[in-house]
Amino acid sequence: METSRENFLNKIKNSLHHSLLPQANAEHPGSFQGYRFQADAPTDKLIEDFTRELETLSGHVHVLEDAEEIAGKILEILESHQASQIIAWDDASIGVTGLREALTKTGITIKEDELSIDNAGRKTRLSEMDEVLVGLTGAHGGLADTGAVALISGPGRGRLASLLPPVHIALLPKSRLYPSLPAFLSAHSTATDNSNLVFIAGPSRTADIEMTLSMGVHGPGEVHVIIVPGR
Amino acid sequence: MTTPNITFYERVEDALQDNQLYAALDLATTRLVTGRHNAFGALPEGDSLRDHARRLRAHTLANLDRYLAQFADSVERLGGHVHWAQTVDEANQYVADLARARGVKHVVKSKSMVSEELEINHVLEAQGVKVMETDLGEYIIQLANEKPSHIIAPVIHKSKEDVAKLFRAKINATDDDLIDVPKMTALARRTLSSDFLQADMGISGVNFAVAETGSICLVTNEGNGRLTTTTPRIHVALMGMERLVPTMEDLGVMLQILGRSATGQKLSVYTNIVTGARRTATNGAATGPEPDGPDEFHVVIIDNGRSKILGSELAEILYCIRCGACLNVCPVYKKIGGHAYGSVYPGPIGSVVTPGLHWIGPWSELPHASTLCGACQEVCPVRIDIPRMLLKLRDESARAGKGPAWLKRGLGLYRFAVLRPGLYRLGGRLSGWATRMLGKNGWVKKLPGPFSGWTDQRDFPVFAKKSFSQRWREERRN
Repeated sequence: METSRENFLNKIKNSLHHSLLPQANAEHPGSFQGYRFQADAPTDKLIEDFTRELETLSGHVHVLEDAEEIAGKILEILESHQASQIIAWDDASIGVTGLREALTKTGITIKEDELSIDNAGRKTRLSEMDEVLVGLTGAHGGLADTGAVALISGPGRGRLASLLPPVHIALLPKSRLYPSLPAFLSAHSTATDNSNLVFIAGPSRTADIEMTLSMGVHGPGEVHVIIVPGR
Repeated sequence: MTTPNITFYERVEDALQDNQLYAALDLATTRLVTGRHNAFGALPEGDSLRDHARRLRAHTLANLDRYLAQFADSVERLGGHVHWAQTVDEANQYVADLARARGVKHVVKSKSMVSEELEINHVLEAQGVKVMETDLGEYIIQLANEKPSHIIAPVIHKSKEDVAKLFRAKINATDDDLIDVPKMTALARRTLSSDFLQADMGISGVNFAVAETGSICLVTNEGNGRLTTTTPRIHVALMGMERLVPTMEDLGVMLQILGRSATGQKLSVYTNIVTGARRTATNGAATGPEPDGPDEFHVVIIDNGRSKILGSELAEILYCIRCGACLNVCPVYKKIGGHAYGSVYPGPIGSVVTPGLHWIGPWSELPHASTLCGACQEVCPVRIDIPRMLLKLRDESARAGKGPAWLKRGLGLYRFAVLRPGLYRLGGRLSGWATRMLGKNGWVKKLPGPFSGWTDQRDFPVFAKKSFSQRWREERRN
């Protein structure tokens, strides 16, 4: 007996005998050759473009050099929201050693993102995390043409830090700036080895009601990208 | 799918009387058309990218069985579940059974056009499950118990006063909540946030599925698509069977044109690529479980008439990436809005998809809801020849005896006359005289007797004083 999969696919196969599909080729058309982005654009130019694009989307960009400045900027943002708790990626994933310790020393609590398999426990943890105002993550890439950051999930790198709190701070190493999304994808053939890859271009927004813009609908309404040295 | 209980022409008549609808459509479509125009203007490779995207869509569909099998294998290799649903009922049954088996009481949904085909909310609600739409527009639609009127802007037809009234009646909004649109949006966020925390299942659509990796891509601006696929322990993705791209690189091509075509954005705020449920993965030297994300991933691949379209001269309509650009430029859509079409998919795309998915019978007027101006084909990111297919469907509807009787009789009369030059010239002179008698300011509002069918839906121009053939003869003489 045929399975539902075989049935389904056979029906398609039969339809394809009578299809009118203009410009269809048996061969895959290959890579697109016409991208105009500058593959070897200097870092300064990428930072300049990235900053302009993200600011156009009402995001904030800070270019900082040393660990102390970075911690200072994060504390400043936390203070402006009177936030004493954060959800954060682990140090290795953020890419700044000792950052979590520096923050906890000033009295900041880090809420661990750790959803249990057990259903009730999962919901309890979600409710606790929902009270947190600021999320702190690293970034696997920045896209200069759109101001988006790319985040890949993994152990110590939850999705909720960039999603649940109303404020998201992402630390992006300079060396991870790419001219565009296609350029990022071609450099990250393993980007889908984990369960989630997301490109975030500025704060959450909607214009569903009368085309009037509102920020922070479900995702963060305030996004900061701190461009840091290193890899 | 349910068919509307008043006729297409009655719905159009209603829409044309609605001044608020006209103003709302004018504002929104103008804004979207300008946005798209500027976005492509700033992308020098836009035209060649669209050509490439078209070839990709064509190739994928020509090999759809192979790519679907590859996609399903990729999903299952990662522990995901694939269900093949030829009909709406099969798809609904699968999701309903899964919800029952897992004790699901509460579902959050992100925007999905295919779920509108299924009308899955009713099926789940019938077994006692609370279902919440979480896209702001879809949430408003759900509260109002209506249907979306645009593929990407579902409440394009509502004013903020309409929404305020609805929020007051349905979710006890106070005056403070309704001061302006951002306040109203904030209220919706607060209301829905507990649904995200409590839901057992998230149901999403699929913008693109990637055959080589088993990934699905969801594009949203609000973030509800990410929450729906992250907080609940079960994620179910509903996917029209044609939503495939072969590789991640091909996905990159599609993403370069989708946002620009839909809203004029270079990239939507969230481009969310989900590859299976959360799993044990590596992070540098360490290996461990991912801290969040769903524990189960299910994808329901839905045919519901698509294989019928694929095996026909309408197959090209399956190249569609659901950006909605053809709606915004359509002179008919801009006047009547989405509801007048009476189906899930409005506008030029819908006028082909709807009769294609079902049968021409109850939808025979839709292919006529077009001026055949070709604006839809011009803006289509994958250059679908919509006018060709509208003509094909008009032909089909005539062959099925669906044309109005007056048109058939009129065309028979016309045919008789044009084949007899003397009679044609006489008829021309008589009609010219008659239209000048009946017309006002160059237009005849109502033709008499057997010709009135023509003016029921349109005005008729007064004939020129001299016919073309008269002028032709005179010019040749001089």
